[in-house]
Amino acid sequence: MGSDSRKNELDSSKGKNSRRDFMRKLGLIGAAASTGAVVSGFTPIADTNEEYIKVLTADNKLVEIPKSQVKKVKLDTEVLQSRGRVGLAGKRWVMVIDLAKCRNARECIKGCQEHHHLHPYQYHINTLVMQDNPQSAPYNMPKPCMHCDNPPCVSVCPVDATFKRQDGIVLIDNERCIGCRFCMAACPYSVRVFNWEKPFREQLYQEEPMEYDVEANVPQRKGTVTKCLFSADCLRGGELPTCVRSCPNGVFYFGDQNENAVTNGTTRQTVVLSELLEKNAGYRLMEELGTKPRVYYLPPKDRVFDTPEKPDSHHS
Amino acid sequence: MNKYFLILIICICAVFKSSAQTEWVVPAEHQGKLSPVQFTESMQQSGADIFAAQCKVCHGMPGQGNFNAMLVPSPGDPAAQKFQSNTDGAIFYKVSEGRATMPSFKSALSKADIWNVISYVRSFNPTYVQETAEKIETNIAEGTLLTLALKYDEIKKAVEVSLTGSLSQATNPIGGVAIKLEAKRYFGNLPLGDVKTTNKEGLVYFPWDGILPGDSLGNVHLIAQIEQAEVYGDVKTEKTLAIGQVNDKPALNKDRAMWNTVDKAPLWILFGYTGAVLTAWFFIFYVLFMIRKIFIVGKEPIAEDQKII
Repeated sequence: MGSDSRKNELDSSKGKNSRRDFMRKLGLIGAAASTGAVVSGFTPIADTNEEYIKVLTADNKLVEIPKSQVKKVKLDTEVLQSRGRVGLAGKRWVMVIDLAKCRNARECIKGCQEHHHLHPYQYHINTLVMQDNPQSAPYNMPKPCMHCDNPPCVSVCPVDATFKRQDGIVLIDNERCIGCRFCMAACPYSVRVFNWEKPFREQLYQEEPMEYDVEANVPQRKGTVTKCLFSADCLRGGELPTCVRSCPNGVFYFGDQNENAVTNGTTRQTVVLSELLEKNAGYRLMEELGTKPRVYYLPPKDRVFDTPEKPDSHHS
Repeated sequence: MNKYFLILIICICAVFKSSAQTEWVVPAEHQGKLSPVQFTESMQQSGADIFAAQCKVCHGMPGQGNFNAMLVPSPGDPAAQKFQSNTDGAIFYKVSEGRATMPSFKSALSKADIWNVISYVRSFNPTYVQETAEKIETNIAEGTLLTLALKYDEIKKAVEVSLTGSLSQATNPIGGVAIKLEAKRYFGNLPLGDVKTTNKEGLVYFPWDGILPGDSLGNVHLIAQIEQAEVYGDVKTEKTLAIGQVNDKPALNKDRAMWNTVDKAPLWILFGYTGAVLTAWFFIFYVLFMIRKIFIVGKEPIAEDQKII
């Protein structure tokens, strides 16, 4: 292994250093910006109506600086990579999908495809029409990545491109991915998709080159695998994942298992996770495989919507 | 004749059934609810943004009739006569509570947000004349500054919230006001127990069983606020108390597992594999060494008398 490939290896100390560097950089810029504010405060400025904006510094202080002094900090790929590898400390993300409420609005799919620059035929999340037996009513089932605690995809990746973070999210790094598709074969939930073609937003990438963000897997790259990421970039900012926010029917709950609370993306009601799962018979897909998914389902009981078409009518 | 009569009865039943299905009864006390302030253009603007984000998916753009007709009950066009015939209070109630396909927006939108949406929807009705609510009389004197305080009562095993009002330098406890207690979670606030009303001493106790998870030190960020913000104003207090359960759960990728990286691999695999490789190499070199030895022995000259052949 050469020293170049060593750089990208999963190494927590390296990640910490890079993050520290990043924080230091951010702190310097914050300090520079606030010094700028002080300086301009002492300088008599004719235009007193200058707009001030609030900025959160690296040491978590809220400061106001003049708008003209603001310089945008661009996160480079290395910083995005190292923080993407490490994840958020003390968190265990969990999703609950209430099947009784889904009526196949497909807003989660639309939101997701837009966020992750996917082709219309590529799905990080899909809503499937399900029928358990000829007697029971069909229902719709949104199926994202399960973000397993024992992920078979991570076990088979030969180049450490797909990995599990401390907060439970399984990500894919398309800068390391060699497109062997072992992970697609290993995944029992078939949630991974391959970029067979040029990315959907190829033109955008050419017009405005952007840094690769492993937490959103954007820009997409031809010949690599892509998958649901629980919108890891949104979580960092305290925002719910895109699919959770887009749902108009209150199907998705998302939260931190360590806090034992999940928030509904539509109604924004926060409920106790353990109670929600206990009282509503929450279950996980293919429990017998021992993959320990982080996505729970609530059975499609007492449906609030009419039953969808029978699944067979789609294919006949 | 009898057959036609039967068909007629079935038709009448069907009409009644469908009308019963679309009827949404709003309790009388909510019907007459009015906005505390006059609608303004900025309220409409903000309402339009919220409408586009939360309501458009099902209701479509007001006036264009592009609502989702597949839904039962039908969401309807907000600019249509049927929708506009609702009172302000009825719309507020329906948005806030929801039913069947219409989700409840009680937690997603603040009361002010819902009034903004109503002001936006009303802007499509040229005949609408707004009435505003009269100021609600309370038992608290005008100009009183309300303050909430929060602490943990060790003996009572409860979170104590106290409400005081200060008027011209005199501070008095205030009773009879509904208070709600919430814990801050990553994506929203978790209500803790029911809303409780302050007693004569201005105090209210929320029983605490200590099972709510906190951070790594057991800290829980609590928020106490007055339930009826439209009457008493937006009064709230926040405090971090170390009364939660300590979160000492390890990182999910901490354990060694059958994963693709060496630094995560189980130790028995590392030692087993390395040992197997070393043993194989040892054997190969041993054989090579023996061959070399035979070769050297073969080179040695043999005395005439020792030759067999």
